[in-house]
Amino acid sequence: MMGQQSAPPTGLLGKWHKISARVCDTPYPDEIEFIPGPEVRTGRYLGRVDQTAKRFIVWDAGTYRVEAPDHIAISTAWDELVLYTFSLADDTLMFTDHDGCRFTYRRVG
Amino acid sequence: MARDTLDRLSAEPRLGAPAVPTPSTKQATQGVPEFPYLPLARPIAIPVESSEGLTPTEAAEQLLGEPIPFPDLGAEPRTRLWPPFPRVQLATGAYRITYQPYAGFVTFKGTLRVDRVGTMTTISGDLYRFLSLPPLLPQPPLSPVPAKPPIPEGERLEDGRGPADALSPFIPRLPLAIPIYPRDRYYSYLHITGARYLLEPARDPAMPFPTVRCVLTVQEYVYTQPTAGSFDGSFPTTPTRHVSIVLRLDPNPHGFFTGPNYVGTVYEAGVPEGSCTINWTSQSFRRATLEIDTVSGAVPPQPVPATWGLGTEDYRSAFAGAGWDVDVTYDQTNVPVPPNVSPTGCWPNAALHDLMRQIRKPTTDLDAEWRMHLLVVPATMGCGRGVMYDLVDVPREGAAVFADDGYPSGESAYFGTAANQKARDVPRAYLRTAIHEIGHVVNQIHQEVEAGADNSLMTTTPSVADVLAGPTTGVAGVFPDNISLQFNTHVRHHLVHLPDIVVRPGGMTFGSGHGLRFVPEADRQYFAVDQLELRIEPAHRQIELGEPLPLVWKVVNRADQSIPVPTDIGVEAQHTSISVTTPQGIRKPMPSFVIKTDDVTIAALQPGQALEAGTRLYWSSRGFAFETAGKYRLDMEIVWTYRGIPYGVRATTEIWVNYPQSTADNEAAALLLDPAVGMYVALGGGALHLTDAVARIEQVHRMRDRTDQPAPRALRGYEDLLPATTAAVDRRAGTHDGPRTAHPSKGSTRRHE
Repeated sequence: MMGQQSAPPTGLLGKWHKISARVCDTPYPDEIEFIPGPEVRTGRYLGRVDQTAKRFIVWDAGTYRVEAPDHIAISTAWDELVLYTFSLADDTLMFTDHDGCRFTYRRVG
Repeated sequence: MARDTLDRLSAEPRLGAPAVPTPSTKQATQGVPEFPYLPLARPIAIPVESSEGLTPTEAAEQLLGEPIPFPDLGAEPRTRLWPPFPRVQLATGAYRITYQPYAGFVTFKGTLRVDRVGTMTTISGDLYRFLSLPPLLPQPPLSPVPAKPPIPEGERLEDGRGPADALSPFIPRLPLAIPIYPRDRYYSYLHITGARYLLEPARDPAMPFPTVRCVLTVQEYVYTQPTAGSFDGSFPTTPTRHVSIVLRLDPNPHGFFTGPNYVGTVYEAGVPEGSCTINWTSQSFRRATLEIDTVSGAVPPQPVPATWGLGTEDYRSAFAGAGWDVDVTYDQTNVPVPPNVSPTGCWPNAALHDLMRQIRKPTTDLDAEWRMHLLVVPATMGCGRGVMYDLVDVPREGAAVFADDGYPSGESAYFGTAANQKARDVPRAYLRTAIHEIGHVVNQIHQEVEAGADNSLMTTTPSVADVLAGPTTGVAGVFPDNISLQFNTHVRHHLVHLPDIVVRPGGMTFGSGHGLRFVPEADRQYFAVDQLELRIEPAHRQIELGEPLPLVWKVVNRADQSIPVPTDIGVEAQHTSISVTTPQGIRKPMPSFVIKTDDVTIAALQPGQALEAGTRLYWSSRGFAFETAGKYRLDMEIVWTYRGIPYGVRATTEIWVNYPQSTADNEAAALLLDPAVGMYVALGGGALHLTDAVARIEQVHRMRDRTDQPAPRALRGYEDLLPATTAAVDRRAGTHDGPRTAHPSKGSTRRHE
């Protein structure tokens, strides 16, 4: 599962707001912040959910590690390290989970 | 007390809350102000009319004419009392509760948890349903009855009886254990919203003391059991029924050396429905067993020296802090590694799950015990330190911890001496991870999204390191030496008061009760209007279709003491939620389009002070607030947690949306009820990149110039939102009528003295 890292993912850092609204992306947070650590490709993240529609999210708080330019491992609410496909273009961050659900965040900070 | 008084009392099962506790002005440690406990009492049925506003002691004096000695009912007579009734109280701990309805052949058994934190008491319970056929029914033919086997040492029967309970009935028995009942018998959750002690004057000259009755006001949420193969039933979002339980001390608890025992009656709408007994059982609220099995090549986390310098800390002490009595069994070691699994790699969840099922106690029965399993495997650095792998089949049976994983420096700059060390070499942090994963087994989630990152067990490890190192957190210490091996008050509250079926292993799936499904919980304390008022002030009570509604709300401290509240009550700060109920009765949440939680904290709102925030209610990711004409109800709730206690205020108002009165109004609504316009409004105007929205608004604006019909009235809501060019034209032409509508602030809260 753990591949070799290559491109530095500095563009990942910061806050992102989810702009897709598919049923399958409901378990993912409305906002996610990737917080830099001492190393570029690894760090912590914090998920946030709109509390007016409080719901359980699989990315609540934990760690991430960029495994390859298009793969990132993110720890879940139950501490499982799960590999996702991702792409980063301008201010848009797109993930694809293992069920094929594709969802998109836009940079907000 | 007359029977009709009790009936009347029971017929008014209104919400109640703890009586006024003693205000405190002391300063807590680390410079954080200690907020006094608050006068949270709400209207509650008072059996003696003249006692309203009096302390129970005063009421008793008034009722009886002279001061009386109070019998000591509690096991903790010297602790602070709730209500402040000298030497009369329900002792802290777990009670066995049995409810026998007068009608039907069903008996309900369960537990009641009386939990006192400071001066605040929370009471919750769970009931399980059992068939109870009357003895007059035909009995099955007699058949040889095999001798019952003795109860093995260390084991307990389904009803909680252990070896000591099997002794002769003539030998005084120890208190029974906290009962554990099968999951498929789970029936309901009890949320006790009020409690009151009453005095019934003595009638027997030989017994000069009055009878003390305890009245519990109860909301019962009946659980719908899941279908076969599923583990997720459902709770209703509102109580199934309200009942009152009127109890008196039972002076003869049938030979058990237990704590206080009460017997009484359950009333619904004033009608006695059944009998009830409540027997104090344990100072703990819940009990469970933890089995630890270790794979070859790994070592299990062990107890570590206590930070307070005496003794050790371990799984048992951690859960004891949350009121759980956890029996820990270090079972197998050198468990062979399964084929096709690399022991020093990251273990797949399926492999962990399979191994757990193979090696745990063969007779494991989650209906007879709350049994949790911890698997210790070697793994390697970067696997995540541990995992609650059990999301399949029977939920939440076990977790795993990784001995050779550890603390990669990339995850936190503050791992200190633990940086890049293996977990097995950092005992305190290693034990923390193991308990953290077991916390997931009992359905607890990361604190970063609940109470906030802190130095407690359910915060993620890197966050704990950061908290310990953070100069602004006020938390002293370094990682790993000062890691706390305790659950915070928020998690503790969940562990004590979430329904059994939500926390017990093999119950509802992970995440239930944390937004995944509605789960009732005896927790949030809502302020009365005369304490902390939430006032909604819409700019208009009647609006047009397509017109945004400027909305301002205020939170006013009307009490005579300070109250901890969020510093930002704007919707963007996520403490405030708004929903509208359409004329068709459909409730629609209106979440903020923007999330801004960075700066919000909980701070004191002084008496007389007010906070104010606003928004323009029109559109959210859930659609339009007012999409059709008619009467709408607008509900607002502000919730927060302070020192583990959830608080809230709420208010409601009504808005009328006019039917279009002209062709212009109709056309304007058609143009403005468009998601692009909605987003433009949600962003506060000025979002010129939303060209379609701008075009629509300008088109409606131009409709003012028609001479054949009146201007669309919905334009009133866009005065501060008009694109700059349009507004400039207006200003040059002087076409605005009167002053502009005050624009509610966006994302900011104003404070008023």
